[in-house]
Amino acid sequence: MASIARCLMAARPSAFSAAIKSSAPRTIGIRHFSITASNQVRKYTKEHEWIDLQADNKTGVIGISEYAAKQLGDIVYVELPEQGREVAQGDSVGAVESVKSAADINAPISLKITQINTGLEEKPGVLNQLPEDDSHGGGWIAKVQVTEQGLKDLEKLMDSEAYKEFTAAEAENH
Amino acid sequence: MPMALLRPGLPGWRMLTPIRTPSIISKRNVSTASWERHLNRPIQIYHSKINNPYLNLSIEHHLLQKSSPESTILFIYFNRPSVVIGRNQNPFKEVNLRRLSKGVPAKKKTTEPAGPALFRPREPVDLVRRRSGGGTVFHDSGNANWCVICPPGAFDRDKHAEMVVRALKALKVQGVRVNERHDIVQDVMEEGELRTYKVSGSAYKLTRTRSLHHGTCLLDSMPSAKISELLRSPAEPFIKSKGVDSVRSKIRNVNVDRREFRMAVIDEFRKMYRANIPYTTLTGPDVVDIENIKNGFKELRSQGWIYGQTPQFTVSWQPTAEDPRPRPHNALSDHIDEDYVSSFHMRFTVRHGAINEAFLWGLDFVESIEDSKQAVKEAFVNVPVHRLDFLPKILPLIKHEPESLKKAVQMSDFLNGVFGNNPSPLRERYLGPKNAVELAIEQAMAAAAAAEPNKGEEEEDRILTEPQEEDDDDGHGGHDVGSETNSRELKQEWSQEEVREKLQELIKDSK
Repeated sequence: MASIARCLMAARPSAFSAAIKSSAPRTIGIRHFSITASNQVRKYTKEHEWIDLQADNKTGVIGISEYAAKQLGDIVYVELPEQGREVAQGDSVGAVESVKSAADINAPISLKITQINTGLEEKPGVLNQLPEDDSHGGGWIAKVQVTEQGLKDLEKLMDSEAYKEFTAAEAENH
Repeated sequence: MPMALLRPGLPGWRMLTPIRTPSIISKRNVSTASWERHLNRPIQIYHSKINNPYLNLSIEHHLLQKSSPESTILFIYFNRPSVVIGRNQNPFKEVNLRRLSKGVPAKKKTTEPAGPALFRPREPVDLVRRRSGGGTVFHDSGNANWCVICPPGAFDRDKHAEMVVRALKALKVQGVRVNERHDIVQDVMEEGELRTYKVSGSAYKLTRTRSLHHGTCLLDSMPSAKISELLRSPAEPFIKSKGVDSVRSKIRNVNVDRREFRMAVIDEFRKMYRANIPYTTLTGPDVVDIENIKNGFKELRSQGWIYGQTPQFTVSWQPTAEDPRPRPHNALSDHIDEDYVSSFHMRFTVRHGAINEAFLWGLDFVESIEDSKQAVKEAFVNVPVHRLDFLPKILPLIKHEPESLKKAVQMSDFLNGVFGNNPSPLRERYLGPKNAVELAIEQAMAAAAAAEPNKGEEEEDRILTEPQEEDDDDGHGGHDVGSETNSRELKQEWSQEEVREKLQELIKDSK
């Protein structure tokens, strides 16, 4: 998602400044949901995907960050991964289309897709509104099973503080 | 290979003569090595002499995937007649598939005497799904494709469309600009008012490491009314689809020569990136052996990609709460009895190109209501819809009485029409002889089919060996001398025979 996040900034300075503002204290969407609940940890990639690891260390939920969703502009279609597919970190697990652009969604860590959010096919706009909401009706992409390699991959990802700094720095570079 | 000596900017680099591949080195190795060298350069310019849309898009994808992440690339190509839909579009809704299968009049050669298009031989049209987003376009030798691949940090939706605008202005095309949809439009004074026409459309593909912007440019394409016919599906009022709909625009040709356009865009690209470098011409033998291109080509040609990638959609006979539009049944088949319009019901949901839910009502089923519903599901669920003849699937479910058969034929005519397939060849058996016009058409079609005894092979031949018309590539232009040397390096002296063999292998695999 990195590519999209960057690309729109040059074209849309307003979206750019909005993104900086939003990455300040309010990281959360309109709806209430927890990103630092005691039983799960949310980690982010440089490509603007997130993953929640559940307390069992075996399952999780993936999605794209609010920052990326803002930069994408109006999302008109979400291509979801196949259920049961096993992918390595960085492999494409779907794509979103906005403003004539097909942008890949990549696996934040090595994982297996166990459930997809079919609601996004019907309402792709939810991905713009609630990208980091992992509840029913939210913009999460898929529920996943985390592989052993996946747990190792996870260590290299950013926590929400580090990601906040990262996006602020990325925005400044443009 | 002393490619280093050809570095642009070195005095005398133009003087070098083309270097032949020593026969002792295997062709494959030289080709691969030479590709790698090209793909690592910071600025690269390619021009394809191939007109196969699947292959050109696969070369483009190869450049996207395999070029060095910091490089910036210009790639220019022209396709033979093809309808190209966006990644997340529905071909049944966007394209008149029956018309597409009949082809378009072959383009007039400049040397040919004038004559009405009716008697012109017809050329097939390919249906292509590209990997980028956006809407449906028609390509032919008069519609240029330009593509710029760059690092994501440098990506901007307009800057390369602006580059093409500068190229058009350099060619004295007036009134061109980039609009808010990132397309190039032309403002023209007509009948005392300013009218705006689209001359170029943009689409993008963004990956983790690279971004790709490609666009068309209408130089001298088929008349817009003909294009519009191809891009208007009679099934559209029956289809409710997820995914992306095309936005219709009035289009216009800028009337620029292909070669002049190519050179002007290359010039602007060179200026933009301050790189006075030669361009590389790609031909069939340069690409047909590259594994990644072969795989991309196979994927683009597969039914699973062309039809299976279609976002889920529903076809329904009657207006529904979610889709209350009126349904013009007669636009899809010759005739449907008025009684049937109100007594029939059908609703199919199609996912990944195959039927997912099936409901048919109003036919004279043999079984009870519940059993018939089940039988319909069993007959249709998981069946791919493209090239599906519905009649043989319906016949086992219904009574074989004249009125019942008539209903079945009319329903299957409609369903075959929705998915762009021809009326069932079986219909005659159940409806009696056709009328004279229908028979004449059928005979003509049979004769045409007989004239091309092996369609599969013909397709293979068309893939790469077909020369691009009147496209001299001698590089007369100021900066082009290097192009010859460069292209020679990639190009090998392959016989037509060898190319054909390669292709046959490729096609066989892709089936």
